Formats: sequence, C-alpha cells, structure tokens
Amino acid sequence: MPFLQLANVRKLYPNAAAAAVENFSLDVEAGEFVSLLGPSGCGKTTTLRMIAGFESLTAGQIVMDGKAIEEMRPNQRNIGMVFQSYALFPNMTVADNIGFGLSVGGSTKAAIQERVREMLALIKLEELGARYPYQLSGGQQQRVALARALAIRPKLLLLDEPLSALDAKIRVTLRTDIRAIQRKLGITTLYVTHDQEEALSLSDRVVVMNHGLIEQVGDPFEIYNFPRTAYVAQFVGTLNLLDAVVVEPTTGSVQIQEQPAHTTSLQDCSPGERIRLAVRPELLALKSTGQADENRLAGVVENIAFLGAVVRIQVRVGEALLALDEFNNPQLAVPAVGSPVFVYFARSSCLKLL
Amino acid sequence: MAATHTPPARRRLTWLGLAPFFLFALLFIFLPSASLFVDSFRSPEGHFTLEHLGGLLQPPIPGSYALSIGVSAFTAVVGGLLGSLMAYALTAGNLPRWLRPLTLTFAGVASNFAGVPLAFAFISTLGRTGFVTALFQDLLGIDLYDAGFNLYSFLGLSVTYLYFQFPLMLLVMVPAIEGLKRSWREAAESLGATPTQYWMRVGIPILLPSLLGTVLLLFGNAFGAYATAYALTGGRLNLITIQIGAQIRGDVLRNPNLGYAMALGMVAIMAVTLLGYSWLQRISERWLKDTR
Repeated sequence: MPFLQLANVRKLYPNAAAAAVENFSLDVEAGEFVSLLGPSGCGKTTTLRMIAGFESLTAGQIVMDGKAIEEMRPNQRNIGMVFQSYALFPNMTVADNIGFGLSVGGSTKAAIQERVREMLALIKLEELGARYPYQLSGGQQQRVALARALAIRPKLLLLDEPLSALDAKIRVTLRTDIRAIQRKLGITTLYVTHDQEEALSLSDRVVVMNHGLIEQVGDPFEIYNFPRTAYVAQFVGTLNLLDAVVVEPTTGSVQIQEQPAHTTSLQDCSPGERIRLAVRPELLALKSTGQADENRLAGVVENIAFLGAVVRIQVRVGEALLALDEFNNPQLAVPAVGSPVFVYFARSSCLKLL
Repeated sequence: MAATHTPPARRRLTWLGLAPFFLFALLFIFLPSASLFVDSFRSPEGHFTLEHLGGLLQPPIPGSYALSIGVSAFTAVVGGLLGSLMAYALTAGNLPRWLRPLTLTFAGVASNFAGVPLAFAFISTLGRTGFVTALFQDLLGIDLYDAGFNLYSFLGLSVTYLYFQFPLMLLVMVPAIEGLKRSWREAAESLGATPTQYWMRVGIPILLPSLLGTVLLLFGNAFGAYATAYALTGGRLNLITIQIGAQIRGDVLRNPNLGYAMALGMVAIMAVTLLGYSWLQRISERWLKDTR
C-alpha cells in the first residue's frame, strides 16, 4: 500500500468559476521524492496545503500511513512543512526555531537541545544556533526552516517552492543539499515548484499540473523525453512543435511544411490527418549530409543566440521556426544568418503529441 | 547591485522639502526646550540657581507628577488593552467588512478629538446632569454618582482620556496585527502548536514591541494633555500640566522659573518615554521587515 494516497481530490473555492484542483489522484511510496510541477495557479500549492491541512477538501480523500487525514487538524498530522517565505519566527533564535516543534510537543529540555544540535549539524550551521533570523542570509534561513520542519521527525515533508526566493547559485547548492538530506533520512517528500530544472534534477517522480488537473506523472526521464501532451512537452524544456499531415500511417510517413519526413508511431492515425509533432532542440543537427533513415528539412538560418556552452540557432522551415542547440565549439564555424541549411533529426526523436 | 547616486542638485532639493519641518522643530521644539533648560537654572534676577530644581521636590509638585504619571499610565494600559482587543477583532475576528473602514474612520477622528470640546462633550453626557447619567438613572435606575463615579475625579478624567487613547492604539495596532504573517501561524501549526501556543509563543511576542511602544506613545499622549484636564476639572486635579500653567500664568501662584523647571522635568520624562518607544519600534521593524 502506498504511504500517501490522494484519491479524487477536488478543491473549489467559494465563488470561484472553476475548481483549483480537480480529480487529483496520486500514490506516493514511502521514501519517495515527488515534485508537483506547473505554472502559477495550476493548483500545486493548493494540493500541498490540503495535505498539510491548511485547506479543506471539497471532495476526495487523503490517506497517510493507512489513516485518512483530511479531517485532522494541521497540528495533529505530523507533517513538516517548509515555506517559500521561510516563515522563521523572528522573535526566536535559530536554535529556538528548530526546537519549537519539540518544545510545544512537551519534549524535555535535554532532548530538545540534543535534537537541535543534530539538526544544526545536518544543515551545516552548527555555529549559528544563537543568531536571530534577521542575522542570516536567505539560504541560511531556508536551511533553518528545513531543519525546523525535520526536527519533529515528521512522517511526511512538504516543501512549497522553497528555493524560489533565492538567487541562482544558492538555489543549485541548496537543492543538492535538500536531496542529500532527504536521501539520508529516507523521508517521503512532496516538493512544489514551477522550475522544471529543479523538478527534473531532484525528483524520483514528477507530477505535471495544469488548470488543477494532472497532465502527466512520470520519472524525470520519461517526462522530458516522452511528454504525453503538448502542454507537458512545452512546459518541460524547450520544444519545437511541427504541424504535419499524415501520408502513410503504417510507415510513419508525414509531410512537414510540404517536405517529406518520418516518425515512428502513427498507428492510430489515418492518411490526410493533421497532427502535431514535437522535437527537442538538442536532437536537431545542422549537417550537409546525414544517415539515410534520418529526417531532413531544408530551411534558412534566421537567428543565432550565443548562450555560453550552447549556441541556439533558429531555422525557418516554411512557416515553422525550428530552434536547435549545438554545443559551443570555437573550432567550428557557425552558419551565417540568412544562409540555407539542412536540419537533420532521427525518426525516433520526432514524437506525436496527443 | 550597484549603488544608486542622487545628483547633488536633486539632493539639495530633497533637503529643501524637509526645511519646513526643521524650521518648525527649531522654533517650537528646540528653542523653547533650550529656553526651558536655561530658565530652569535662572533666578528672576538672572543668576544661576538650583533653587527651582530643588523646588520640584517640594509639595505639591511630586504629587502632581505622580498624579499625571498615574492617569497617563492607567489610560495607556487600559486604552492599550481595549485598542488591541478591538484591533484583533477587526483584523482576525471575521466581522462584517463594512465595519473595518467605519471603525478606523471613527478612530482617526476620535484620536485627534481632545481639549475643551472633548471636556464639554463628556460634561454634557457623563456630568452630574449629563445625558448618559440621566439615561442610566431613568432606564436602569442607577445613579452613577451615588455609585461612586465622578467625572471630575481620577476615574472621570481617565474615562475622558480613554476617548482618544484607545482609538490611537487601534490605529497603530491594526497594521501591526496585519503584519503577522499567515505562514508563521501555519508553520507553528504544522510543528504541532495549538492556536493558544501560537499566540503565546509567536504571535504576542512578535507584537509585543509594537504593543509596548504604542502604550508608551499613549502614555506620552496623556502625560502632555492640558486643555482637556483643565476644561474638565478646573483646578480640582493637580496634574503637572495644570500646575505648570498655574505657575506661568500666575492667577494665584506665580513663579515662572519654577514652572520652567517643572516643564523640564516633564521633558525628561517624555524623552525617556520617546527613547523607549523608538527602541521598541526599532526591534519591531527589524523583526517584521528583515525576515521574509
């Protein structure tokens, strides 16, 4: 039985035209790290807040460790939560913040001190126990918030966009630390983010949400490489969307901007049907010649953007504008804007979207 | 982030905008305070003397200070309590929406309503033949004055002062309570705290600097009041402000230099009050602003 089960969860706010979360069902195994990924307003934070007990459910059920928890008060659920805004108590020192949960729970002073020491060591801030939150950087504050949530030995850890208020470098360091701590403690974790890179790099599984609904659930590899819907494909990573007309479903033959091409699976299509294909920029290549079974589209270079390690080239193919990424190599010449080129890509890299 | 530099001409213009304030402060705060200070140590003949400061220890002056401090402290604490409870009710009490602007508008007006009009309003409502006194008598059969109430007493003056004290507290505490972040309460709850534990260990301690600071502000507000007390009680209550007025105006008593020394004592008490207020405000601002 999964450790956490959400079954047909629905949340409709009073006077709202549409539900914030609709028909949300998800099973999370013990020790798993699952991210809820989606843009603002997609319902990911509302889902997290319903699990924490800060929002009531309009319908559905939440079961944790074999018990239905949707009627329990937040302070009875034993769920640790880390907030985007850190939410450290400004009137308490770091040590008092970390020990707060144990203190209100009636632990002895010695037990609290011991646990606070452990937690400070875990977040590598042993020296800062006596400081106040305003004396810490944003990254340090969020580490303390994490330690405070973990100090009560929660059954489940919820993180609501914990890194979005931090600058890029600290974000990367802290997310690695969060994952390392989660693995070390083996705690079941639900992580809300709108940052696809964060979700893909941290999670065992990613839940992509849109308009309160689950679009796709899968491991990061699956979500990135085999998006099931146009929404997932576009939201996760950069994607070239190509309108195509099916020529021969059995062979996967199509016409893209009046040029012949092939894809792998078109079993459920009929000849003449208009479909939408997707190709990742890194799977496209500019070459003078390619393999016989590769797709080749003729186009004209329209724009070149230097992104450091990667050079993004935009090629106009009929009405479509394809973006392709090439690793930066000073030894190789980049084609000039306006020059005619051939774009090659493997048949298997060309996915049909639902 | 690069520092932004304001051009010197623009900076001069900014200072020019503050000029009226500095001029006002110089003419009506610093120069009179300096004059008070000097005159407190000067005899009528113009010689240096400590006689007036020594006079502050002679009856009835210590009693007047004590009475002023008593009325101010009482109205500050009671006004602070009432104002805080009202502010909590308005911000977190799920009251009808229309009540909030209405109450805050009333508080804005009432907190500035003092002096002779306020005294007259209370005489005509809670005086011996006042409207409310008569209402109590006619409807409830209670004679407020027989029951021990007297508008021209410590309690009566305090009730009158409370009319402007608790609205001031309300005006300051509403934004302070609204400054309590929802995530603090939620964090406390998720850590196992009950609502009472949250208030006792997080909510009230965070509000405490604002609360105490505003109580000090109320204390100062009442301590400096003169016209309301004078119009209401005449000379029946020897508040320090009334004593100073008597010494300087000289209807019965006249020793302006002693009056200046008494005023200097008031300035010292007010300075301590304001320092305390400013210190508490700094703590509050640091807590509420520097943490996310």
